[in-house]
Amino acid sequence: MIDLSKKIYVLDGALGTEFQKAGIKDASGCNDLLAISAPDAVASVTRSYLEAGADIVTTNTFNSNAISLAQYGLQDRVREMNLASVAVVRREADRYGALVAGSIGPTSKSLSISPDMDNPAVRSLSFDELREAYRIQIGALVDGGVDIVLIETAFDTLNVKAAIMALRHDLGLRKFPLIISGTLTDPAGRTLAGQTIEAFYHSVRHADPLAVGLNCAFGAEKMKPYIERLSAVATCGVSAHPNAGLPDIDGRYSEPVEHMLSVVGGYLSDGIVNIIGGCCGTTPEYIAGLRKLADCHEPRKFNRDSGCLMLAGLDPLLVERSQNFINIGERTNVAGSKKFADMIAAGDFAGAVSVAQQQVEAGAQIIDVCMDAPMLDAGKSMTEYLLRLQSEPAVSIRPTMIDSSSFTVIEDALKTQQGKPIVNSISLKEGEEVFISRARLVRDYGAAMVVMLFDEQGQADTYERKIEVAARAYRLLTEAGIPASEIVFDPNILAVATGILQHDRYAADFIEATRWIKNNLPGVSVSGGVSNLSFAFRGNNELRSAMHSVFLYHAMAAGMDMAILNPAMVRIYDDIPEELRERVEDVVLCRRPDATDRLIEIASEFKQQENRAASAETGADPEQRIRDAVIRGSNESLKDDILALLERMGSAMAVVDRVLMPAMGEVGCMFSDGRMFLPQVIKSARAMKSAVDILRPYISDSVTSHASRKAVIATVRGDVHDIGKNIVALVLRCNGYDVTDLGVMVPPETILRKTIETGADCVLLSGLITPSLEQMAVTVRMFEEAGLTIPIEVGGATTSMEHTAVRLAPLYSGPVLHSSDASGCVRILSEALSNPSFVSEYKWRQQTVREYADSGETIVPIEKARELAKK
Amino acid sequence: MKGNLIKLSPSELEPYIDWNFLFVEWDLKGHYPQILSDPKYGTEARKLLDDSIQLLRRMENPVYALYCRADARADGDDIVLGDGHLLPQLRNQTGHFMCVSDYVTDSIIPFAVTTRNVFPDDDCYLSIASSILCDRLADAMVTYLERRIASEFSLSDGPLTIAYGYPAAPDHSGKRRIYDVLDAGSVLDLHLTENYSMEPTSSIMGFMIPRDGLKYFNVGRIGEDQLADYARRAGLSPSRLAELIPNNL
Repeated sequence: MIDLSKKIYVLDGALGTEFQKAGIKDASGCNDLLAISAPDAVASVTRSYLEAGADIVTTNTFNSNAISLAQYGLQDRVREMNLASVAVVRREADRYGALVAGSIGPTSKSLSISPDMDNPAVRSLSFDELREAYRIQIGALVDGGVDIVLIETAFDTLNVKAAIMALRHDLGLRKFPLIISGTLTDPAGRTLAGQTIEAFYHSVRHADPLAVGLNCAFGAEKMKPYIERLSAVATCGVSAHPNAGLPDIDGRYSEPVEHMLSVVGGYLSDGIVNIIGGCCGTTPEYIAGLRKLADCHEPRKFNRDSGCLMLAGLDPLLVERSQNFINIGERTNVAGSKKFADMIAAGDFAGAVSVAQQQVEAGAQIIDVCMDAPMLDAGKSMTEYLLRLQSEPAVSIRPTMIDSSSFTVIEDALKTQQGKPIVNSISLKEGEEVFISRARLVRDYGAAMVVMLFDEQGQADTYERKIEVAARAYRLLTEAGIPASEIVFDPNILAVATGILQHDRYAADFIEATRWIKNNLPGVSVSGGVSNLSFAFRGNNELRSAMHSVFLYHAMAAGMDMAILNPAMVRIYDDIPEELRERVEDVVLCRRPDATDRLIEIASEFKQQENRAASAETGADPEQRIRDAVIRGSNESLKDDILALLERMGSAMAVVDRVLMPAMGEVGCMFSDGRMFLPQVIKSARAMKSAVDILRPYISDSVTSHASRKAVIATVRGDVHDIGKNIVALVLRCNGYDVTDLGVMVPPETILRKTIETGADCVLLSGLITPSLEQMAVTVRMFEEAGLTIPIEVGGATTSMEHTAVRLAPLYSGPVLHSSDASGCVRILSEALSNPSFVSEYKWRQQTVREYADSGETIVPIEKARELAKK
Repeated sequence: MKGNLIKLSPSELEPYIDWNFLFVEWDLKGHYPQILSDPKYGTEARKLLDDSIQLLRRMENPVYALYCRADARADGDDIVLGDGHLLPQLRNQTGHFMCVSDYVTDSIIPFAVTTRNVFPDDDCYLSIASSILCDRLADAMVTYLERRIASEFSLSDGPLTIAYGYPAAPDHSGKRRIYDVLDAGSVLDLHLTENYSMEPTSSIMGFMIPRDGLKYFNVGRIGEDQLADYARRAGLSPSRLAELIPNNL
């Protein structure tokens, strides 16, 4: 019936703004009621779009669900209103042989965003409430006779997932044509709930939609790059129905039809859409124009399914061996981390969220969350924690792995996930029927699944058992319609070197089973929890990390795609001392009978080395962590480390001089080299400042700064701009300068006096407005008269290389430097202070600039210019 | 008060923000939105934009626009307002010979836009980031005002905005005249220094010419003859004027 490869389908334009224009509105304030109160008016708008040539017309049911209608007190009339609306539109559409799409809006409530700033775990609506509301609405639309279900203006993918659950699972309409259209609300191209367009697509793809697309948003022009991105990834159709530009404050849309058509024409000629229409502010005139355009362009060609597993948090994550190995952070698992378990038990969710943050910073691409512990209410802790993680963007960009042995806990957790998570795990433990029904449910919630190799007889611990269970699970799942790419096998990593003979082959069998699975069960991924492997060596992190690294090295070669591990507990294979590596390898690959004994022999050596470096959970020492925090610009959790270091070093100035300043020095270098950018540097400066603030009570007043270079900085008289000046002052401090900031509107006399008082090595003058150039000249002249020759550097929007060379440099015996950005400013200044030949070369270049400056254009006398202007 | 006052919140102005300049001010070199996928700057650029949008949504400083519709005509290179105020303009002498007064037919819209950053400044990053956003907000308010004027005057591509201190009207002292025309001091918490720097810094003053199809231009270098002529019309000494517009000499 609908074949998106045959032609470009034209969807209708706006209903709301057309009603508004015609002056029709329902007395209740709810225009969805018009199909009942003014059916002729609705029919006439629909007819105008059909006459314009629309292939698909939409029902006037955007808000016809119980949640949205509750604000009008109409929540009991959902079915009646949807049926009435379909009836009106269906009747008109049938006269033109057109299709009817039942419009489903997002409601005004978000399932992913907390309405309470102070409590990120609150939601104004539950997944099941919304899902039920959608079930009733979609049921009525389908009963009424729509051809397509159109979920539009979706700002929160979890709301869409509730609708998908209602349609595909609750109503059982598994093949019913579905179009899902999202909307972007911020110019970084994210939905209101934070997802990128790619993440949005991968999170709804399981619904098997006819098309996905975008509507509303910020007008056709700005929408185009996002449609292009969607078109590049979608294996189904792509739809677009943009607004007529942005509304003004009075809610009017102003983008002219011709302009809009010319922009949308680009969509068609670029071949990036299969369905095209209009949203708020578009008219039948526009749709008629679209009809003409659509008829002379080919529809977009569908992409082939890559067959790769795609996950999503707020950002997408591709699981593909050739791209990279995926680290799954395990420290947010109560079974693996005592510290984390204590935090959850004590209700310290903020602390628990920061653990996830550290995992991401340490390189985790997926966060494994597990709350299975006897003292916890796993379900409650799991949902509360997952909801809180969503308010932390650094974490919520990543997909989660929902890890529980209780399927109820898993299902509740799935109802919090707008992205595409992985469930960990399902298995054949309770038989085929339970296994398949759970797999289907997980799929309906839009998650991928870890299948643990476990069956009715227990855990698959040998190579033969592993491949037997894997083959059976694969057959059952693929026959049940689960794509192979959604399956992640966990062939069980079990502890080796335990002294028990049967355990010796555990690691080797995992690696061999992985190889067999990847060769024989096409499309699947393989994962596993690595920490188990080295349980026999608890407390010896040095040895454990060597075991993990050696194991991963071989398992990855066999085809393992991802692992649950503490990224801080893995090292580079080649960096492991040779003797240790060989003995570990003997154990992991089960190469000799005495392998375990030989490893235990040398184990204690490594344990001792480690005591030196051991500290808390991350394995690094406080010095390293502080350095990292300064370089990363992270402001959190500095205090404990700083105080620990203070105790160790015995003096606050030692911490500043030996740890903080060198770290800042590194930041300064990376900034000059272009490896770090201004926003990062400012964040580093902030972290540095917090660190120094913590130390301040321990710094005695008598200690003066050790900084080698002193600078005075000011915005000149008559000018109040300080952003540039403040940035440069901070960046100078990062580079070890002792900066005296005189503020704004500083008279030249004050600048001179302070320079002499502080014994400054250089002076920086900032100004944004043109008259400030004269103030700079006055200041430079005053420095010359006082007999100073220290470098003066000028900067700010009004300054330029030419002006500095032509008007300022000749006034002064010392160098007058200019820079147009913060990194250049510091680089040039530091050169000038340390390198005399740089200064002479700089002056020579300014001379050249002066020589060429005057050879400019001819100035026509003003009277002549006035005459010429009239012609 | 002589004009209309508009007051909008940072969130209301968000759609009108031109994010291009955000990256310029943070020294990230590239054009928005391409910079978001730039191999070198992309990651930081996206982080910066995300951070800035988050911050913007937490900011509470109102943004004001004060404007009026003034009858105006051109008298040579001067714009003469209905109430007698004079706005002298500079003419290009190096190529196209244009002067802003050439564009004026019957009216102009003098305006002043301002916002004061009230974000606590105890965090150096947020303090700089919020000041940069305030500049973007002032700019966004001008865009908003342009749309509003376009719709009031039924323009299809909007009025031409002439802001003082920019290439078509480089003499900052023109701000004083706009300040007086609007009697801005009685309505806005906005002040001019002796060199016409505006306090708070996130402020813009100038006028809009409500006509379609006008092209922005650069006055460029002027001769001694115009310097003397303009100084006389503006009531300044030629040497003072030379200090005000050194880049045009």
